[in-house]
Amino acid sequence: MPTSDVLRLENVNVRYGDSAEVLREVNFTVPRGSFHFIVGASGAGKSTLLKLLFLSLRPSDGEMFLFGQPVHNAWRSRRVLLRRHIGMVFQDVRLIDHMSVYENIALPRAIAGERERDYRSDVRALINWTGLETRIDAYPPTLSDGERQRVAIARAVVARPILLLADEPTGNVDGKVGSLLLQLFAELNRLGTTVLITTHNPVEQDDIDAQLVRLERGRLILPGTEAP
Amino acid sequence: MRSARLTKQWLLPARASSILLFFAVGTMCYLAAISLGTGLLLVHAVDGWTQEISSRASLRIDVLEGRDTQIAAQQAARAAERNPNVIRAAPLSREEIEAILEPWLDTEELGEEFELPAIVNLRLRVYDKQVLGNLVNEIQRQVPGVVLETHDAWRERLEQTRRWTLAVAFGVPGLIAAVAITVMLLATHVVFTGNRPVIELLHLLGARNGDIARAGRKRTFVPCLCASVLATLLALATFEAVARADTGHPLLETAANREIYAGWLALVPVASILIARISVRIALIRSLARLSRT
Ligand SMILES: Nc1ncnc2c1ncn2[C@@H]1O[C@H](COP(=O)(O)OP(=O)(O)OP(=O)(O)O)[C@@H](O)[C@H]1O
Ligand SMILES: [Mg+2]
Repeated sequence: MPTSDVLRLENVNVRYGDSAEVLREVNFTVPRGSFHFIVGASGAGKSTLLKLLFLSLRPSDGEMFLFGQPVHNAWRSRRVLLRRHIGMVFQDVRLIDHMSVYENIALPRAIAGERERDYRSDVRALINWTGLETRIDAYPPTLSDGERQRVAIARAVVARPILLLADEPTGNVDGKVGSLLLQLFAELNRLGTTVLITTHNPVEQDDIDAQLVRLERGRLILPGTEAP
Repeated sequence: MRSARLTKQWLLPARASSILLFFAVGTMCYLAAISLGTGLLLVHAVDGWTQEISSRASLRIDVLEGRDTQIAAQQAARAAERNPNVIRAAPLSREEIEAILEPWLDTEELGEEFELPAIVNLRLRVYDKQVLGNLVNEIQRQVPGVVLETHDAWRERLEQTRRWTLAVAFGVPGLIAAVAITVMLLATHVVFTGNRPVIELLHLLGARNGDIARAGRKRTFVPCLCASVLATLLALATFEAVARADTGHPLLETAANREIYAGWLALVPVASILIARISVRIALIRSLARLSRT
């Protein structure tokens, strides 16, 4: 298995309990440093695919390799530790309301057991980069949707992940803010992070060299191929 | 500092629950320390009384035809003093005996010629039934009709009191500890169930159960330490105040003997921190395991 691939799925099916398959026969390889948009209608299985890649969901069938290692049968504690190398922007953002912007962003580093003096400057740099300087001590309930989304992005990248996943990060914001957020992802990608973003209405982004992958009722359709 | 606040705040706004924990642990430790201290002082007093009555016994020389009871008493006292277990043997004067018998006899009506039994007070070195038995036999050989009167019934009652006092002194802190553990298990469970989304998020952000448990332990350690130490100092101050209050009550005045209880009271914070650590650990691991199973 070539380690230049961050991720590889082989014939993966995903079911929730006894339901029908939400993802079907998915074969997908994500090379290091690539940028993917995953596009699909509501209910197509985009969030399910990201949860699978984030290791918070196991494949029902098939094999999955992350950073060159098989993870489809990995133990819970190993999946938790591997997750420290993956950044995730959740569709429902998921900030902790009783923690400030600074604390929310710093959380993954604190969880990893780092001391504050080791991550303070990184967190501050991210806060400046996302334009949240004036909101550093604010609490999530007082933030706008766009600001919350930016906090979530900053938190997803604060631990310098190899792989960055974002579930409709532009879903709740207007077009202008949306393209601003996409700029952040593009910049991270240029710095070497592998990026995967889901969206149901892809915006034209000329300056991003992205692959467009379609998801239709659980089937992944790669560019150049057509739905059967 | 931010990082300290950060690790503490994973689950709940830290301050409210820390203050709550502080007061709960403080109150429990104070009650435990007071119970322990009071019990130990009581035991000390009981021991004093037991020792006091154990060092005392008396010989009764009954009136016999053809002998002078007072002379017989002198002989009995001399015979007793030859025994190494007897420190002192003092025959009582007629007035002293009348004073003792007054509640039972109308002594004023008694004429001078009315013969009273004689009494010899003994001060003993050790209280040992066998030694005392030998002593009586020895005296009886020289002075027949001598009866030894000891305080066995009182000694038994005091022994019983001592056992009960000790049981209460240590039982109450034990009960408090049991309640504390139960409350800790329950509270942890409630906090975790209430923070389920946060716990899930922490797992998603790469926290293992052990990481979350460690943060929880850190958060409980400092309030527990401060509360138990302060409560113990407060309990010591309470005993000090009682000792100085000049109540005139012999029992309360024993509080001045710090060496009786201070050592044991110093164990209260140590025990409470140990109990807190162990129960928090069990509670955290149990609650987290239950949450992450689903
Ligand atoms: N926890 C779950 N249990 C059972 N079914 C689920 C669960 N989560 C999602 N599904 C089902 O799986 C299918 C795909 O859901 P998913 O959330 O992946 O869609 P999506 O493409 O992200 O949609 P959207 O654009 O609305 O976010 C849907 O039919 C949904 O009802
Ligand atoms: Mg979705």
